[in-house]
Amino acid sequence: MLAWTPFLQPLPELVAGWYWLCIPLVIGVSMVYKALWIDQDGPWARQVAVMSALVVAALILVGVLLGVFVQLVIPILQ
Amino acid sequence: MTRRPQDPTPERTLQPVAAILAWVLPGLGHWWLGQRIRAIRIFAGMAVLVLGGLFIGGVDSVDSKDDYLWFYAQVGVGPVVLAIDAVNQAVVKDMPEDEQRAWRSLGHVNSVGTLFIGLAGLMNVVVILEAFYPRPRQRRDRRAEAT
Repeated sequence: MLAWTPFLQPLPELVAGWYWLCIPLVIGVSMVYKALWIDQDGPWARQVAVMSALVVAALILVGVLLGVFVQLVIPILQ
Repeated sequence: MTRRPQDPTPERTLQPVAAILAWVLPGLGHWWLGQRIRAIRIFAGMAVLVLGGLFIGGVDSVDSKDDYLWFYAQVGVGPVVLAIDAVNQAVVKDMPEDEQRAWRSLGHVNSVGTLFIGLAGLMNVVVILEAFYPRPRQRRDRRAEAT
């Protein structure tokens, strides 16, 4: 493997499992969103955790539904 | 409906300086407005997204030439994105083809890195708008008074 410089060069060998990267993405978006929405003395960290979990769960649900549609429903329609 | 004289709700005012500061550095606009904790939280979230994007896709995640539509979204993060693009254009794009291979991100790596910083830019547009025209923060107190 070639020498890798983090933050300058792309992550090497990220082909399988790239979809796990949705978790830090969702956490980052939730951090900013909840920073604006929650009062300064509010439970920001807990709200970020809840929102992140809900969004990831929704992504999984959509993935499962689309998978069922593509694998089962479309072959029936053809 | 008449407003009670003791109503603590402040008038909403436009804050152009806060909006500019929010673009210069995410969170700085809210810091200037005196919302220090909120500013730190915004900065932390933006750091996760921008550094995450750079960690995954490298400097090639920001590319004004090849990903120009995404670049427009990414510019919302502020001058740091312009600096990353300048590095990409001036250093990486000038390398010989075989040397570029280690610096250019392809496929999912490029997509995800670009997406991280693109979403950071779009989120910061929301932050800028909120700094420009900040909401009154006593909303919860008013709701409690009403009940």
